[in-house]
Amino acid sequence: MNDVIKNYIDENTDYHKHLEGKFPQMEKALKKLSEIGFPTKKLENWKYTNVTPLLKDHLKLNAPLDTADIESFLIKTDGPLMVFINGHFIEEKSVSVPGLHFKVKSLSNSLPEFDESSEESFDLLNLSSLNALISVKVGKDTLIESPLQILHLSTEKMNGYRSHSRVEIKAEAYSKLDILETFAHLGKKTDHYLVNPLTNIKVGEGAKVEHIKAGLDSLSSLNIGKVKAIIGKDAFFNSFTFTIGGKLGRNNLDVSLAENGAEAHVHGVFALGQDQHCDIFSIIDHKVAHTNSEQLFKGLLDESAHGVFTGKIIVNPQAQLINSRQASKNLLLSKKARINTRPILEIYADDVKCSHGATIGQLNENEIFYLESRGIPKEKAQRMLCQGFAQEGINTISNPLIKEKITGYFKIYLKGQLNEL
Amino acid sequence: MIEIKNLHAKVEGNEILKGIELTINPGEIHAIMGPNGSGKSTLAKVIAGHPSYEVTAGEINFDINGKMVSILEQEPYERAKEGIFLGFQYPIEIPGVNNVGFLREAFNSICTHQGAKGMDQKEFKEFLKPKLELLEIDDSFLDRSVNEGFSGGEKKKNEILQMVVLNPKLSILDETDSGLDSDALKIVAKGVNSLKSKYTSTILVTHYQRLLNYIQPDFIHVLHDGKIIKSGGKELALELEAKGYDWLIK
Repeated sequence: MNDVIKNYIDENTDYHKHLEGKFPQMEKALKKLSEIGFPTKKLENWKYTNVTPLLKDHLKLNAPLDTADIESFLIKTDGPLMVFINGHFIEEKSVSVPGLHFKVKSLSNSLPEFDESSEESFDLLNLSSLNALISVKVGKDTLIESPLQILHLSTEKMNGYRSHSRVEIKAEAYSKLDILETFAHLGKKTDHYLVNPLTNIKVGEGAKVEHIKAGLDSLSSLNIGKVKAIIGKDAFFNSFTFTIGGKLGRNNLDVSLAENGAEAHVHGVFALGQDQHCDIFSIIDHKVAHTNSEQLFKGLLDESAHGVFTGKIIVNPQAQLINSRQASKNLLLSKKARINTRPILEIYADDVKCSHGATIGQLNENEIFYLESRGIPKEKAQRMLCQGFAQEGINTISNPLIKEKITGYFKIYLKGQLNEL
Repeated sequence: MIEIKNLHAKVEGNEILKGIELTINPGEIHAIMGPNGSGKSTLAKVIAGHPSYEVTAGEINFDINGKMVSILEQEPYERAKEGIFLGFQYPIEIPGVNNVGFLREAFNSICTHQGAKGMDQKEFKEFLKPKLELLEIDDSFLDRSVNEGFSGGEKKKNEILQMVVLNPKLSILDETDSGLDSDALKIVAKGVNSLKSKYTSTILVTHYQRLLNYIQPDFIHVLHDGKIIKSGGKELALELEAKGYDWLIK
């Protein structure tokens, strides 16, 4: 065990001692974490991302509660809302609606079984650090019109801390739910903290769920999380991961097409500058026949930013007659910006249609000239082209309110005004 | 309107323009003809300020507020704001950028420069209406991405729409007629003719005499190997149509 992880293990061990009751799952997770440690670049799945330097200064549990003006991160609707500030659920700011049940569950009776095979350090850190679970359920045949907004806001008081959340979302048969889960910061660019969220989504038979994750964390923070979705019979899942914040971001997307007729679209846009680093690690697992997936990830990288996209598509032997399309398109806006993109296709069935492609390019001089020749100044022309590039991705969001919100966030990136909201 | 003196320009190290002399007065329409590779498109791009083309000698002076001013040091967008418009031979597709948004951005940018007030979305749509009708363009055209998935004819019509909206002092149309059927050609000509006034000028770069049946040029110039080798009135076009360029080149 190296020094960096030791502090985290010690703190969590101490935390477990002070909990009311015993939670073997959390203890097992911590034990496993102490064995495997934080990932290093030697691991194939972490080849391009080094987390340890940013975890060296020990980030502590249980950040102080704070108040904050959350309006700029919300879509104004009368829809359901859950607000967390510095990892604490703020009941008085949250709004529930008929048909959608959400509650914050205490650890007893709600912790998931510990998965012995789990090898992912940050899943283990998440489980062993939890103080509550959030559960959201949409009943059978229920259509929730306004999007569910889950806001994870951090403030200056988050500096030096970490937060771990677990949201369990269940959409029962033939229900419909759109979710905007936002990670945002109101404070200084230099606020250093770790957000380690896990979102579990179960999409029941014939149900439709759209999940948009917006990352607007401070430019010195880490956001290392996972979205895990299991898609049922004839169900549809539309996922969009949008990242403009964070010093280091790692988004694991783990989508399982579990029953016939299941379809998932797993899209996203990351737009980075300065020395930001964002690593998208996506797995789409076609478990059975007649399942479809689509993936489009677009990266814009300016200054010394580094983007990483791994798109793994697994087609199991029994999963015949599937369709899968994947594309990773990237724009390098400066000489120092970098992207590593790798499609990984593991196909064990023989009657399938799978396509993939990756592109890396720069802004096209002829396109800039075209816009300029119409009286649009060069910088504005470049911004318009970036906007156009990202828009193709953003347009995959089907909820118009969420699409508009994300388009607005993208403009913040273009103006270089993140952390200034 | 514009004075071009002894203009030399090169691209990727090759000298394309080798001493162009051309003066265009307000109200005039000039056609520039010539075989492939003679430098017609290069001349058009150099006037608009394409960054790949380097002017190695000569001058381009343009009428700005009644004075002839060198524009060689100006950025393309600055030239556009002063009233130079280039209709592209191959209009660029820009995925994700909405056509009407782009048009309004360009329009407002030029308005602001000229001291006029820009328009909001609603005003602009009203303003566009008669122009769309003139060019027989469907409304749905506006909500598409700029030129993306447009047919050849639609792209050219879009160029003319931009021209009509931006109302330039000098319009340069680079082979706008190529690839157009007769109906589309008539519409394009309608657009060009709608801007004709004693204050505006047009340069038509073309291969064929066809467009000149619909737009009456005052002068025709034949470009060969980077130089204007013959100038004349509109009757020259018919002569070229009948005899080709060979008799001039020899």
